[in-house]
Amino acid sequence: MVLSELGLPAGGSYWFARFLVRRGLALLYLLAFLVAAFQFRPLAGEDGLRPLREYIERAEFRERPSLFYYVPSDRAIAVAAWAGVGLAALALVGAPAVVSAPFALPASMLLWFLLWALYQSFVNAGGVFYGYGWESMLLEVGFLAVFLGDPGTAAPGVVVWLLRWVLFRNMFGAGLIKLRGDDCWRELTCMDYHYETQPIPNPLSWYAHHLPDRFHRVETLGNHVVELAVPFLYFAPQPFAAIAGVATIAFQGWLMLTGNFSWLNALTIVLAFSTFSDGVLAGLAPVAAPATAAAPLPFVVLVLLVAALVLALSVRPALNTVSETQVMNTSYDPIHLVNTYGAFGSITRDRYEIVVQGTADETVGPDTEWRTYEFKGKPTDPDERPGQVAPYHLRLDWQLWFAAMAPTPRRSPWFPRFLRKLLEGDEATRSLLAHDPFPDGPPEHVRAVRYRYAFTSPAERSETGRWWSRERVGTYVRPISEGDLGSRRFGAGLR
Amino acid sequence: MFPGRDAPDMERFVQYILGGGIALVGGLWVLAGVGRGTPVWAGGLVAVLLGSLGLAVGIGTELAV
Repeated sequence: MVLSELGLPAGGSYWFARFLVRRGLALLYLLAFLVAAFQFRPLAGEDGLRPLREYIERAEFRERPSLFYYVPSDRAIAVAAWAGVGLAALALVGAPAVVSAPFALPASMLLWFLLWALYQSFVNAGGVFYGYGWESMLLEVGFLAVFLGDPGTAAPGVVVWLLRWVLFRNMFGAGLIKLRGDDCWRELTCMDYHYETQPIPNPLSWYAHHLPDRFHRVETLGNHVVELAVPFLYFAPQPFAAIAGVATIAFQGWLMLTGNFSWLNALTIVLAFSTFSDGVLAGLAPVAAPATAAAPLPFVVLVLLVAALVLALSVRPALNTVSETQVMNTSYDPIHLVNTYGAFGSITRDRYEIVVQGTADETVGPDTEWRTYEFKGKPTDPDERPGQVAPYHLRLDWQLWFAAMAPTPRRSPWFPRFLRKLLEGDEATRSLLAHDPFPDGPPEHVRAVRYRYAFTSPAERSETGRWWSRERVGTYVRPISEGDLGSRRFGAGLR
Repeated sequence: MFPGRDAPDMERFVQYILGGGIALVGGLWVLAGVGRGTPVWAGGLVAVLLGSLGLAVGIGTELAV
């Protein structure tokens, strides 16, 4: 079959792909900077759960470059975050398009470069609270977006293909780590657990969990096909590349419908737009790409140099991906230019939750009344339906999911500081919570209890209205007071 | 496939998937670029079929169901 018989070009121009990628990316940048504006200071600011000074003491600037290395202040954090929000809003409305022709290209490049550089500062200084694969991926895609040109000039096809290369590594890396990482992916049973044990379930997770076992088998097999076979088609001629893009968007859309994964799925969808050529879109809808001028020669040369750089930096991540010692979500350079990706290489079979409680009682005893802190995303109250928060990212809630996997907070050194902040009634920390049961003053004692959570069965839910059942499995941190802070007893209380 | 000191230890199923995927894409470009019915076109078709088979075998051999 000759593709031209379908009326579709094998290659094509990419005006619409650039438009969709840029606008989608601007929206995600906007979200990311809003998250930084609202959460960075209490999590990793001057007096955060992991104070900014720890970043400065542990790394050289060249290892983790950030503005905050030289200006380690909450004010700088706020200025950078809100500047990012403003710049992302400009990108979202396509502000560079209103700049006249000779200056449109440099204005566009400057805008996207500033977004990338500012966000780099947050990721590199954010420590464990920014240690997610989608942070590096946002930076990698954001870097390539600098070189997508302006709306008046032809979109550089080379950069569009580099975006597909990111998409390929993201999907293919996720597919390989699964087959390598956990027997349940090979036995097609992982989805029996995933919806229940994922970091932050959403309103439809309970329903997805209770779909028939046969459905879970088929969707797990479908996962392997979409992550391991389909990605090769991103590099195929049209319409196969676009079909692969649609399959990827549908797959990521299902994940968005049934879970909260920050902006991982949305960013992957944005990348999948790069598989659409103008010819394919024009064949599907009554749209026509505007006429564009050829890109200036210096810009073309710059794009080719960037492509050569990305390809050279791709060697190690590519070798890592196909190696049986594959490591996912790793950066190979300090500014996250080319990275490895992957998700859910192993699936947790049981869901554990840390329930944080406080009391106004000066002395703790059997009759002490404990009041529970509620979080914005992670399950706590068994009666409460899981909420929809993605593509927004709740960094504290995600870290609590990791922390709950261990019976003590030894591997989560920020957790004692979190309890300290609750005992002090710290306003910034309280802003990370959905409900503080002590609105009139901090508690006398706090404690953390570890529970195993499971979705209720349909029969249990119709009878009790509960979404979760739970059983207590241990004490995560025994009751401590402000007087214990800094004492040996406080340290002992953590064990 | 990757000679030298940095050659990764690649499992057989990964070799099938990588080889299959590359053959599939190469075959599709041949089909798109040459006239139908020519020997090169037929070669492209064979590459597409073998590539698809390689992908299926690569994924299928890892399943334990």
